[in-house]
Amino acid sequence: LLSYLEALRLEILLQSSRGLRDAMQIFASIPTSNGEPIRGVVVEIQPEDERVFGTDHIDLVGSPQLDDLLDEVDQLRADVRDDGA
Amino acid sequence: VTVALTLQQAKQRIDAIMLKYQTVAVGTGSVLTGALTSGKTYEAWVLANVLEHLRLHENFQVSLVGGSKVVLKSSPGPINSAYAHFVLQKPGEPQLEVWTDVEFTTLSHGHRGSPTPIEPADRHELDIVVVPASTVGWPSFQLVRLGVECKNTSFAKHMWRAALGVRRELSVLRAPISTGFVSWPRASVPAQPPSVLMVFSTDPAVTNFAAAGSVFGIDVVHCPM
Repeated sequence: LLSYLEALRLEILLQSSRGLRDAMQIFASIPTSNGEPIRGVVVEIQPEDERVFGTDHIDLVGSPQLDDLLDEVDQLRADVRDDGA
Repeated sequence: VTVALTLQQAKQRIDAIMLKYQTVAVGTGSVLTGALTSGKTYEAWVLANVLEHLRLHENFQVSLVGGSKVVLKSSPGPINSAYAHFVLQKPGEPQLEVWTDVEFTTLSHGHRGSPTPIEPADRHELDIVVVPASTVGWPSFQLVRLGVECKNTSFAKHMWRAALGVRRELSVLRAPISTGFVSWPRASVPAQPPSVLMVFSTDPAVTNFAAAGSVFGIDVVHCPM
């Protein structure tokens, strides 16, 4: 059960806004040639994929709603661990 | 009073979490988009870690050129100079560049005299690649200084076989040769050309392949989020 919850946590984390937070903290310390701070991460959709995704780029921002759900998963993991369930 | 969590209660809470997850996920995009962004978020995390290590352990000055957003790609291809990328600089040393989602042309293609047209087996993807500055198009296996694979799912054995294949198409097995790096990712590698190949995974099981990897010069890194 804990293994399942760990996998579920990772899946949610990778789509939450928290998922990119740590990477952005590191990127924030890296200068850019135009003097601006690094503002984010974008996935450029290659021409062969545009029909599938319906866009030419996706800004990786993650969902803040999933941050709350992540807390629920973490609480459940803690409860399962405590109970040895 | 402590009330034990029954398996049934745990299942009910998981069901409730899944219901909310599906509602949010459907609201934010398709399943395909979700799968893409999950993989790319992990790739961004690994990229940040790699750059941080190169800065801290190799004293590279790291900068982003060509834009103010880190660019990842939905599919691999050639180096596209229109995209933003990272530059690694160190006094007295040739400049390096860090690109994402790039296919290199293989050792076996070179050994056949680099014929055209290119076959599917003649190029393989690396999620993150470090090459000499001003490298364009599909870099040759000879130009790869560091290649990184990122795996954000359970680390299955076929992924290891793929890494072995990439290692074989980057280099041949030789007594250790200097990589040009001082210590990170490694100072020498049993490979000619001496490219470094790393596999990052969220799954601790990736370390089960460390011993085999050490023979061929493949470094495995358990890198959770």
